[in-house]
Amino acid sequence: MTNFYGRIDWIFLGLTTAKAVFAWGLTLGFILVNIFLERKICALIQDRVGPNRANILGVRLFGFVLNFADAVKLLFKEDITPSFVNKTYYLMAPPIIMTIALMGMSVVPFADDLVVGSLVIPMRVLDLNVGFLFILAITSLSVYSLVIGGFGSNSKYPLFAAMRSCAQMISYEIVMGLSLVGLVMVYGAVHLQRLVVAQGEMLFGFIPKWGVVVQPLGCVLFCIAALAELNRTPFDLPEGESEIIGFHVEYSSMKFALFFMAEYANIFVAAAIITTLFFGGWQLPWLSTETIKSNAPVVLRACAIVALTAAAVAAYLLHRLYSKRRYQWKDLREKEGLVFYGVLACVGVLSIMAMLLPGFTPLSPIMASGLALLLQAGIFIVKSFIICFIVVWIRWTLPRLRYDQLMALGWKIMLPLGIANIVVTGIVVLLFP
Amino acid sequence: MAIVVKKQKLSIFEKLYVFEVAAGMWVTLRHFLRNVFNTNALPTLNYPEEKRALAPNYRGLHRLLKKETGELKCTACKICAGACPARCITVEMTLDDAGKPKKTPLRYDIDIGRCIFCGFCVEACPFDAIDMNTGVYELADADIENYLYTKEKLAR
Repeated sequence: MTNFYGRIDWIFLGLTTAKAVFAWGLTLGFILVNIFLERKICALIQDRVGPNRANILGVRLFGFVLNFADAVKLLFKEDITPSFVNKTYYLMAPPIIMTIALMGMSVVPFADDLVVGSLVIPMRVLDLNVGFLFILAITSLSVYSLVIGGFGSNSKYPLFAAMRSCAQMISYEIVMGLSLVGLVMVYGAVHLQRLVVAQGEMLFGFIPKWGVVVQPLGCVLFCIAALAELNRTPFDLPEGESEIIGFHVEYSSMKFALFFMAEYANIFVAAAIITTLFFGGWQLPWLSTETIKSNAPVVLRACAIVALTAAAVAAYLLHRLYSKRRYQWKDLREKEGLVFYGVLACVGVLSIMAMLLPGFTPLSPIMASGLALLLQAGIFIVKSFIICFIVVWIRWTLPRLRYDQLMALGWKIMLPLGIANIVVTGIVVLLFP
Repeated sequence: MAIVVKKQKLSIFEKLYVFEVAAGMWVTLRHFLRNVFNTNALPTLNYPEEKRALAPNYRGLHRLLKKETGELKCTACKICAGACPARCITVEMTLDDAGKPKKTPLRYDIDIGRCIFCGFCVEACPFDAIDMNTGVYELADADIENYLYTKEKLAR
């Protein structure tokens, strides 16, 4: 907070606040996105339509608006606290898990350092040297919430579920840690920004040196362990929505919703971490920050062309969707298409304007940095989104593991593989430095 | 009785589990892609806007049929009321001034809230005065009094 002279550094404070708001906003926004993805992907995989009724003035955004209806419903539901619970622990559990979920994004870099004149602004909330060790530490705290919630409910099924989830999360945490050791060996850094910068290099001159390329086994192990940590299918034994009862049966209304909001926030945080560690974080493949800055006009026009193409494809798909419909809504929803077409038209006009910018004169340094920042933050969000999609996709494909299978997978398969990965990586790093 | 569960022999590819998972993921992805680009081709009916075509013998709300003269065919013989297993039909005969019965109903009420749509009344009627092929099935109502369908409402 204080600078070299012991005064409060207002620039630092303001920038950190802005970045924290961005990181939290991103996490909270992705809660909605993940719930939307969950509903829509589940529906489409099962040959259903999914949410298509809830609307605000006819705008449904393919069911996204249902989230708001859901929030209103959960907020106004009666908040029941059973008489037999241990109130302190019972009330403590949901806030703990939500807090932890929101802390995860604090060390993840979402763009390269922004250079404005002599000021270097790191694009992450906390500039911690311990990097992903902080994330491992923070995410492992979330098991406390489950155990406290299960124990505080003072009822046998939540307690069983809490014990199950405790065992599961502790065993998979080990694999999670082990799978990252190889990564540290290869890049020689735990600081997330340095990891991402190192991933911008090229292997043999043309393959991006992403974590998934140099550590494929580590990546798979980490992703599986992350799924287990997230309590997502195929490892959703703590919840067991349909048959084995989860740790949150005694919770209702917003307290219950907090558990699920935390789950969906955690999906995004895990996706962001997987992106950062294994999929190059904010790195655009083959486009380093310097390349973007020095070729800013070309990059801007390339972006404009991509945006224009995407808008055209989206418009075609929307047109097909609306023109082939077999029925009429006979209300405001009929006009919904106009909103989408309007947005797409704006995108088109903006990209054409960007293409028609006079000449190929270099943009000013600040504008070039801003362009690089936007592109990198955008690609980071897109990568995280794709991983969120895969997490949801896995959920609607794979059945749940039995408890003994879960433990066997964790201890008998993934742990030896993790150790083998470390050994092999160590030998390779020694032989080919 | 004990059942012997045969353990399936798994091949090495199946034991690795990775390929089977990939195959499963491909199945769901195929469904997803097919449906996301062709949402209109999904078999789901968007019910209030879209309705299913009814079978010709679909039993919906009853209808009292009329003669060519415009009078009801019903002679108030009460055979339908007798045949009704739910006892939801109430028929009253019209009497003329001398107290002699006229062959037309004074009241013909069906309590749709009790009706089980079995169609026995239609089969029982010797005069073909009632049928159920109106195709009306959206009969839910918030007010129980609206479930009483009188002669006027039925003879549409």
